[in-house]
Amino acid sequence: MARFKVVDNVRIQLTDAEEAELDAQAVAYEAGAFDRDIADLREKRTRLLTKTDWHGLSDITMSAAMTQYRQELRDLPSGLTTVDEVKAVVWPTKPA
Amino acid sequence: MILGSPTYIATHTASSATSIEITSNIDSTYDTYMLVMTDMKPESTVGQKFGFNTDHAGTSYNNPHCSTNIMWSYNDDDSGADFSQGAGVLSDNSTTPVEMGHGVGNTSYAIQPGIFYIFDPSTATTETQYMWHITGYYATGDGTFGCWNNAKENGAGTISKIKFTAAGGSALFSGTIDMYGVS
Repeated sequence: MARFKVVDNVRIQLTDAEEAELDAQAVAYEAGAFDRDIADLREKRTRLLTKTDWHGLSDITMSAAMTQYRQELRDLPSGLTTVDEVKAVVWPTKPA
Repeated sequence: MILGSPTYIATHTASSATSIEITSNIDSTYDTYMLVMTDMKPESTVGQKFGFNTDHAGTSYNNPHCSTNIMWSYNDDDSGADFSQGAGVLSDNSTTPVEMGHGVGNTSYAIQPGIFYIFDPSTATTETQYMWHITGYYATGDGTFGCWNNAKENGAGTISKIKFTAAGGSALFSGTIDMYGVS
C-alpha cells in the first residue's frame, strides 16, 4: 500500500526510494526494540536503587528485607533476552 | 512560556502519513516559532514515539543534534509516580529523529499534544535551539506522562526545514500542527 507524507500541508505519495528508506528504518527500529526496552528497565531500576541508597549509610543498619529488595533490583535485568521477557518483568515490592 | 504576540502562519494536518514536513515560513521574519500540536496520534503498531529532524538547503533531514529531557508520569491505577531526567541523546549527522515523547502508545484513545518552539532559526552565527513541552498517554504504565525537553543544533547555522515523524521515522501517524511566529 502506498504511503504518503505531508509537505507544507500537501499530501504527497512517497517515491520508491523513500519507501525503501522507510522500510529500512522500520527494520532497524524493530531490531532495536529489545535494546530500548532493557535500557528503560535499567533506568527505572537504577532510580529505585537510588531512592533506597540512604539505607546503606554507615550509621544505619540495613534490614534483611531491604538488602533482599535491593539485590532483587540489581538482579532484575539478568537473563532477559527478549522484549516479551522485559515487558513481563515483575518488580520487587519495596519493604515498608 | 513565551511572552509576546503569536501570529498565526499556517496549519499542517496529517492523516495516515509518514511525516509532516514544514519547508516554508521558517525564516528571519520571526526570532521564535511556536508549533502547537494537537491530536498527534500514532497509527501503526510500532508508533510509540514522535521525533523531529531538521535541515536547511537539502532535504536529507540529517542535521546533528544534542537533546535531553525531564519526564514525569503516573498510572491510571493510582500508582507509579515517577520523575526522572532522560538520558541525553546525541544525534550526530543521522536521520534518526530527536525523540520528542516517551512511549506515547498507539491505543485508540492515545494522543500526544504539546507545544514546540524554534529559537533563532535564521541566525547563521548561533546554534538554533529547540524546546518542547509534551503530554500524553503513557503506554508503559497505562497512565499519563509529561516532559520538558530541549535540544540544539550541533553547529551554528540557519534552519529552514523541520520534519516530524513517529517511531524511528517510519510509522504512520495523524495530527495537526498550528504554526505561529512570535515577535
